[in-house]
Amino acid sequence: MIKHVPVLLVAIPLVVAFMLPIIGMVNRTIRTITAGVAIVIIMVLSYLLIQDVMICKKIFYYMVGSPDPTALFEHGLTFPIRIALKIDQFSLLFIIMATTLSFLFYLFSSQYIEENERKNYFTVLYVCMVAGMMGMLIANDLFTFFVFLEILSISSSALVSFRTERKHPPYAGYKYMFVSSIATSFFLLGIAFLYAQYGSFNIDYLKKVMDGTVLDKIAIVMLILPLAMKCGVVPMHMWIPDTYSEAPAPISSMVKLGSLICLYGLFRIAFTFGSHVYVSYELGILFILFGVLSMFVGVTQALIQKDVKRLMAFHAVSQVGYMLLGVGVGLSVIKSGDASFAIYGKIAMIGGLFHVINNALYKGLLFLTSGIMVRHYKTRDLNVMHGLAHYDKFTALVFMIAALAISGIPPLNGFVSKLIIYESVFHYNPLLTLIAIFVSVLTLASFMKVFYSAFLGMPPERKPVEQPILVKFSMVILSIIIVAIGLFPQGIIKLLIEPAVNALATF
Amino acid sequence: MSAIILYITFVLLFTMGLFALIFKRNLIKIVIALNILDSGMNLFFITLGYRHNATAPIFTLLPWDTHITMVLPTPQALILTNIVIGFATTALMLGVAILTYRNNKTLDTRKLRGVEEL
Amino acid sequence: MHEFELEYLNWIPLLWVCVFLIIMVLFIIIGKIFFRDDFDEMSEQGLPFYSGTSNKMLQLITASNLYWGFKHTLQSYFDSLNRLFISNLGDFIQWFIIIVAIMLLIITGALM
Repeated sequence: MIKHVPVLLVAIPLVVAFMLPIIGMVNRTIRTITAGVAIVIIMVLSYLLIQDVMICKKIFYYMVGSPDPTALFEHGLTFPIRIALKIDQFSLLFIIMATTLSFLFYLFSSQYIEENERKNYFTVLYVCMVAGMMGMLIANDLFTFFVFLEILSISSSALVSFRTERKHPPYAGYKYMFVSSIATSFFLLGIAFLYAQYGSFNIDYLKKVMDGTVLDKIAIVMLILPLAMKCGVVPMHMWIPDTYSEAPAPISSMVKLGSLICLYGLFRIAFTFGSHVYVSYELGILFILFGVLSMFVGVTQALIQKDVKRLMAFHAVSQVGYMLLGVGVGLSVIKSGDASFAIYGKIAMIGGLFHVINNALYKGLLFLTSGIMVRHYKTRDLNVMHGLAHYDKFTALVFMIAALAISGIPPLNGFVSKLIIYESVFHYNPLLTLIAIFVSVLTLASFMKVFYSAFLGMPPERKPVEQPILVKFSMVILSIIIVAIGLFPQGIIKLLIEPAVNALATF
Repeated sequence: MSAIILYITFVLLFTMGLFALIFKRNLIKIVIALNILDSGMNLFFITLGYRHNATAPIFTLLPWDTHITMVLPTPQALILTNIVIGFATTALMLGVAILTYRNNKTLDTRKLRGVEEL
Repeated sequence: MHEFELEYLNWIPLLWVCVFLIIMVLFIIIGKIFFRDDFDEMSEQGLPFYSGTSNKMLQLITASNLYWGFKHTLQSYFDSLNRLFISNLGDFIQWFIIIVAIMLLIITGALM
């Protein structure tokens, strides 16, 4: 049974997603519960794999449709011919993060989005987004990755324009689909260049036979830059504020999770192909440059916004810079002759990957609390809001935990990953640490501005309505996880992150 | 020899699509430009599988010493997937463009929402 | 990873939280001994003092005016960045192609 898990991770959400409208016509409560049960099942399946993959260090392969699914090559051939799926330690880290967070955001959205005739479509597209994320994470085949990237883009673009009676959300969905189409067209061009030379799409096979011709290097650039555009790297980040501010609150968190999955693809391609054709030094330097630029431009733009969700969207751009900085330092020293990778490069990569997990947690929580603020005040303008903490102390406490986590205040989880990045990047170049610390201070300043404007001051005119129980429950679970990771980080690093870095950086 | 003409056609289609995307302001024209770009990509993939003097890959069990050569079938299967993806993208973008027109009464990207101040 | 474990043996966050709680308890005890008896928080002794106006609504500083000095000093930088965010769809592609061109030149070794 456990050898069929890779296919079940993709098949269960897809099959359930297309049964949901029929179930929704019968009874609405059963439809909501069925979608939740599907996401819980894949969450439990991914937790069952920790024992085998992380501790015993096995890798799961799966060839879709062949008589013996775990055999890599079929009766005597020397190159793989079917759709290949693979779960190794780096994939499993992201699978655990994606399934847990999708489930918590689904709990929030099941009672936040009001119950009308369009909620059927919301649930179907949400489960399709989860299926797209799972497919991207377990693909061993460049074309499978491309197809699931398109599934994720189309369903999340349709969800961004969910509130169609207002003026701006449909245009935001159009912009998101436009950017995704350009990105996937260039990605397909990179795949075509690699196929023209070697005749296969399989990542393991390409890693074995690739040598460093000029066309290979062109193909790697064409594969990396579209994924960087989808993550929000400056200067290709101009679509991000419009998309995140017009989407409903749980969808902003899911789109952010989707962009972190594209970051997974970026790292996978950069480490598998980039270091093999000896461009790892230049790629690492470019990652560091993009990271520093994203951090700085993101946070200085965020400090002067007056729209709550636009401010948080600019912070999303800035935090991606931290991850690129950490992993870029690791990538640029991985092929140097001396032992600098063992001294500080590996620890920088641990910091970068840990920051991905922490960022998904606290950024998701921030967007959810912004949804509650917007629901109460009926506007996103910070000049109009005042004094919510007089009546709603729960939201104020949760927002303060998330805001302190993103600024890097101990003992929350942002401090752990940022400290690891500061310490290891300092050995590479001290100027980068100075810029990173300055950006962290400005992050704290902008969130103090939001807290002061929205929660402190005179009490508002009317009392807020009581939040439903599942809304509060999901936010409580997220803040408990944030505090727990901040207090006990050694267990998470030793169990999950260090095997992932070992799997990524060996070739 | 005929493969060179197809590669040149692909370059022309790709460049035409990109130019239209940068310089056109109407929402519907941008959708048409994306379709041209997708058609160019499909043409490139099919041309990669071309072999000289070969026929379509429709035989199943040929004997070992035959003189029939076939073009590569893998890109043809993948291009079917890509055409369906392009169709879904076009349908979604046109639907959203209609909604934008209904709410804002304009299709010009310069007049649609920018940022008033910061 | 060994270096991380050996040099950071003082990473025990529970210890920090306990020390913080002990110091807070000490502050409360000292405060109970030394604060004045005639300080009544409910009367107007407990309110912050705003000079300028007595209108309650005008005493709040709105969010656009909070970092005024920062915004005024870097006004030219923000103006040049703001021209990118008018949601001009052609600008998205234009910057993407510029970055693709620069990266192609660097990675294939033509530029450096």
